Amino acid sequence: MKQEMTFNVNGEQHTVKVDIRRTLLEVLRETLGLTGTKEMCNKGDCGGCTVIMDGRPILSCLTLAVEAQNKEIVTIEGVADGYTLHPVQQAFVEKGAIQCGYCTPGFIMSAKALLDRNPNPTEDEIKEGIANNICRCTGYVQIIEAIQAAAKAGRR
Amino acid sequence: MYYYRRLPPFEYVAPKSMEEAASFLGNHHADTRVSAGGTMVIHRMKERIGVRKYLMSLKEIPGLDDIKTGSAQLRLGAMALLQAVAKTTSVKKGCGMLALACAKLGTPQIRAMGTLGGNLASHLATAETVPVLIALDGQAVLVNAAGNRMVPVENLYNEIKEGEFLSEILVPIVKGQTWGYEKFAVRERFDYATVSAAVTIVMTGNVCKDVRIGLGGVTLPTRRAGTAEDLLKGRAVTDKLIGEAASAAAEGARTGGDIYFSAEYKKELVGVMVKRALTKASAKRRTV
Repeated sequence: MKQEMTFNVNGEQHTVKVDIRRTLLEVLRETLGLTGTKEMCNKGDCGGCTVIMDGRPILSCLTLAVEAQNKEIVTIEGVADGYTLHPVQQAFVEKGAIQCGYCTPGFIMSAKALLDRNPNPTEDEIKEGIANNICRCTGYVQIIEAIQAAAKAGRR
Repeated sequence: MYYYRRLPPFEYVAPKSMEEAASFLGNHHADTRVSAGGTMVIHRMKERIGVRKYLMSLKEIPGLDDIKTGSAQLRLGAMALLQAVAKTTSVKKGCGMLALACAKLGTPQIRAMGTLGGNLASHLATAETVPVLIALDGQAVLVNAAGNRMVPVENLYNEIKEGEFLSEILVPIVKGQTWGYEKFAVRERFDYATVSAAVTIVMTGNVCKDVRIGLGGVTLPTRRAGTAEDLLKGRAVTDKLIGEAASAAAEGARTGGDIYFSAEYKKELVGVMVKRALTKASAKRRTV
């Protein structure tokens, strides 16, 4: 059963007809073409589909699209300012926190959500903040260093 | 077990009031799955477990996520996010154990999506808020088409019937009560508790006046360590007595094996968790 739904993604309003059983992840990737958000485990374990909804990091694979209507959604496509990368993105590049890159959008959204509410996190708080994100290239050390660098850059 | 990328077909229902929800559930309870935060229900539906014709979401009911604090009790709406329970100052102050347990539950994403009521009503042995609310003597408000009723969290799974949903959790604030909470998980910041223990205790000097012990990761019929509580009540709390109570709790706990741990190992864990939680809970009052 299709229904007309309105989404606010990265500051833009989108009104689309969507099947009621679609998840937010499916709508972002397949209907809106925002494929930066990744589908990995699709069951809430890996964090690859993390987006920020009303300021909170959420798993878009376990969120019904119908329940994400009229909320403010930020995806990886919405964090850079034109061609200027977001401090977290810049730090990931500089610190070599990206290998295959598949988990990266999820990590960046989790890190952004963390730094938005806690601009000066301890190493422990960073580990806690990215606990729902899995990187199978196992670059966790560089990822933590990148988030620390982004926090430092934000403080300047 | 199969896991599908897509959700199966269903009809989505989002009542705007408690009355509407109770009436819908009263008429369609056999065909309806109730969803709170959705982290478990959506996951299960992709596994094709518990799929029903209607999915009723409680997200549109206003006020169901309120957290209200009085001098004698906390009233927590079933739809309060785990993150909100963990971070609300009045909960931290009046009911520190519940705030801590919610802060340790799952991950930032799960806490930003999952709700207190959803975790409590999930009927999973690993639901971490259950032992905590049992130890705190929490009461659950159940709503059905005929009205509301209140049941102790301890009896929730025996009491809750088809056609009912959880709307609120009431937790008494007991003066002089101290607590201890212990969680054992494979990956501490990610996994649900294999075994957990929640203890509240009221002591006069070294003597235990009242104690409640809730166990997580154990199976029904009870998640309360009654024998261990009886051992402690009215007696001076010593390391030896704590050891005896922990053994009694382990002895009485029903555990089931999983892919990580055998039932016997979990029994051992129950003893260790109860011992640590009791030691923490009593340490603030004990002089010996």
